[in-house]
Amino acid sequence: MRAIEINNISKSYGSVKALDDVSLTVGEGELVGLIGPDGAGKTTLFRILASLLLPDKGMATVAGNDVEKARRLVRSSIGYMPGRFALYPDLSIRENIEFYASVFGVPVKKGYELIAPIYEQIAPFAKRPAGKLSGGMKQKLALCCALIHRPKVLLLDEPTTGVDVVSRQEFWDLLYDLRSQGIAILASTPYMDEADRCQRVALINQGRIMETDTPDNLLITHQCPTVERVFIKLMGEQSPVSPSLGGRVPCGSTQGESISVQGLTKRFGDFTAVDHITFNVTKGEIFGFLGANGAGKTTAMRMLTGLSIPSEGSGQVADCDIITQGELIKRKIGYMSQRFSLYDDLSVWQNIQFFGGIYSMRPSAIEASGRRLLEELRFYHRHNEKVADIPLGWKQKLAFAVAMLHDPSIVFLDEPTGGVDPVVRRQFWDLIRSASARGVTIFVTTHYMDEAELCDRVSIMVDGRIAAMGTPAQLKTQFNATTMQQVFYLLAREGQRSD
Amino acid sequence: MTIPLRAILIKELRQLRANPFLPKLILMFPLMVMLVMPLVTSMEVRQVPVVVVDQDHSTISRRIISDINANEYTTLQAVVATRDQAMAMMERDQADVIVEIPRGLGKSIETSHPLTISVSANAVNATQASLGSQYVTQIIAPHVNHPYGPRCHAVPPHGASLPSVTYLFNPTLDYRHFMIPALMIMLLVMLCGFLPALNIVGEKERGTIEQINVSPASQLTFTLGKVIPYWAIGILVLTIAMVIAGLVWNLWPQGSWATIYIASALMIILMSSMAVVIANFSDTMQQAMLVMFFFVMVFILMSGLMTPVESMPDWARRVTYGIPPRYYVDIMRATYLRGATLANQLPQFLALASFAIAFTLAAIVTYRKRT
Repeated sequence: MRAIEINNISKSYGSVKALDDVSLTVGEGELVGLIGPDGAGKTTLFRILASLLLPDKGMATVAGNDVEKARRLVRSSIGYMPGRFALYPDLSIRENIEFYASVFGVPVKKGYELIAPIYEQIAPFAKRPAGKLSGGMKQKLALCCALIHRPKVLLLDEPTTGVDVVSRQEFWDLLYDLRSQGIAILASTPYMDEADRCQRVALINQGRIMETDTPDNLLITHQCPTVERVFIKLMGEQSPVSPSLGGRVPCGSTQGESISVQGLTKRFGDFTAVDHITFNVTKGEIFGFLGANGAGKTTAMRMLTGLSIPSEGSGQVADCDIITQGELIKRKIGYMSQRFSLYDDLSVWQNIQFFGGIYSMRPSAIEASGRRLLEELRFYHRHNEKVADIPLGWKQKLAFAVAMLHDPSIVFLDEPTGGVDPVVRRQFWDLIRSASARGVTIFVTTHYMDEAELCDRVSIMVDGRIAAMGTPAQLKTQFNATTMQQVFYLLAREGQRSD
Repeated sequence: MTIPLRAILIKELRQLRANPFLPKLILMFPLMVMLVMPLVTSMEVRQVPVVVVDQDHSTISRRIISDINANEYTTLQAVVATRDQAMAMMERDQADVIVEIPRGLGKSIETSHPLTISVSANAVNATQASLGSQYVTQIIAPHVNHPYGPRCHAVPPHGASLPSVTYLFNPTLDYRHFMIPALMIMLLVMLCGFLPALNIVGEKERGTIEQINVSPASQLTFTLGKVIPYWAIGILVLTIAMVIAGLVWNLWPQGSWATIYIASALMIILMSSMAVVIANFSDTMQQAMLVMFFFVMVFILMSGLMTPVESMPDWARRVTYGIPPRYYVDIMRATYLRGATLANQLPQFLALASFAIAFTLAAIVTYRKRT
């Protein structure tokens, strides 16, 4: 018997086709990866399998039960982990698990055996509220909650989005172990590197499954070195692809410092989020600011952008003092926050007018710069579209354009490419590089280690301190590694902190 | 106007226009409140069910019964023989007032020791009981209005000493005249209190406020940009409400419109600033809603809007001096019904203005761009 069987399922929302004739099977004890960018239809498929949504066409069975006709049986045989954590932030780890056990009417003891290896990793914090756990620990707890009633099938919708490399790796190790218990797993992810951890992968884009095969076979049939390349090749027919990202040519203007901080520290009560960090960023440089979840990246960035006052230390950003001249800094920098921050209910052009306006730009200047930026993105013809109606990848590029509107000398980017497909990520990095070539300093955080390779210099934060800093090549030599991913793993694994 | 402020205002108006729900709410809310609520919030009691215990069977008792039957404010449910029967009816909720006419009343009326008619009312609803018993005593009074005539329990002794009462400013004692200004006040308190708070917290929840915080736009600019649209909405809603009150309920302000607009402007500024303060301390919509709801409840119940401040216990009456809408309620009722001028009510205006200034300062100070 197949654990999951999906036959020709289609689903539309109005005129948007979320799923278009999708078929897929998952065997017992098999781990299948559903890989595709944001908006590809992954969540819709999961919701149909969890019997939360009815398909327009086609049928699906989960553990032998039809998702339309045998809803109750389906729901008791699956463990579903939705994209956003389905945890109660005010309840402790233990209380969350007890709650999910009681929802399914099973005693915690019955499922404990199955979750024991996962639970032991978080057990030292059993009394801590779930809201105060780090991203990686939340994921482990959510997995415990999804497994407590011993489901036969596990549906995981982007369990590792926004989670750092180390936690992601640990998470996939856990999934690997679950297979031996006979549990079938369907997990989606926007990270192409996670494809290697699956027995089979289904590449999904714009509601269609482009190909399903083992990772090795995919590489052989398409003659590509990575699954990411396979994906880009398959997508290539639909979107224009920019040339691949090769090594970066360092830009010439390396005189003067754009950011320089000494002993910068931020404490919240007796917790030291950022612990005496010292570094310089040269004008026009692309500086990658890496670190695991909770290492203190966002706090440090908030101090540099004048949003947060340091507890100790000093620094200059764009020749202004970060303690006394916070408001002056704001005129000279651009910022793109982790959460998407354009107004959904306004058009692209209205957003540009607004953000130009709050930087006191004259209407004629907004008109000129806005038009130039949109034309560079080849988006000007769509400038009257509502932001809510354009795809995530485009939104991220537009948010970058808005951050560049007032011609800042430094741009801060906080995880600008989270959940974006590989093609758009490449285009985004083209934008970053062309801005840097014009002399704009780029300060960027990311969880994608292939992006770290593209920075001029990177720093890796562990537990509020900078554990390593240098060019990607230097770091790789120093730690005797071949990729930045390995360097990061070596350093971040030592981190004790779970924010 | 500075460029950033204008940018924020334009953005707010565009978002308002793009919103599928808010513009409708802003128009429908005053329409519904002003058209429907004056009908249903009336405290006037009509058709009080009355049962008469007639033990006399005289001419006078028959006249009383037929008058109770004919009066539009009372309905004669039954005439019974004993008090127990009448009580049974009241317990079954068939009658709210019992009129007991004792045996021999007709004869006793000529003597110097007249008998007493007793009126008992169901006082579970105190207002209805007091109004119902008043109606009945007023119906009975002319029949027994004799120097030595029988007395009614519920009325003061009759005769020449009955005081003459004239109701000033609301001659027909129409409850609507009391309620309509109150409804306008409620409209402003609700709209100018909730909408700005939800708007600001909404930006926090969506994360867009971060992008404004890293821009050079100042605290003052941001706060003004957020509240000015609601000032305009408040004035618009007030105007709609006043026109409806005049055209539909024939209640035009006795005092000047300017006095009303000045007081309302102060109240609108006060409420929207309070909304900003609450939004500045809230992280989620629920939090802002509940805190705002708490204050709005206190404002509505303790400002003299529904029940007169004079009927509150002493300590509560002192508390009301610290509740800003109290002054606004005073001003609105006095201006609307009595035609009071701004000069007449200077203390109330000064109090309202100081509250408005204090809340505005608090709104600007509590908005933190840096932590």
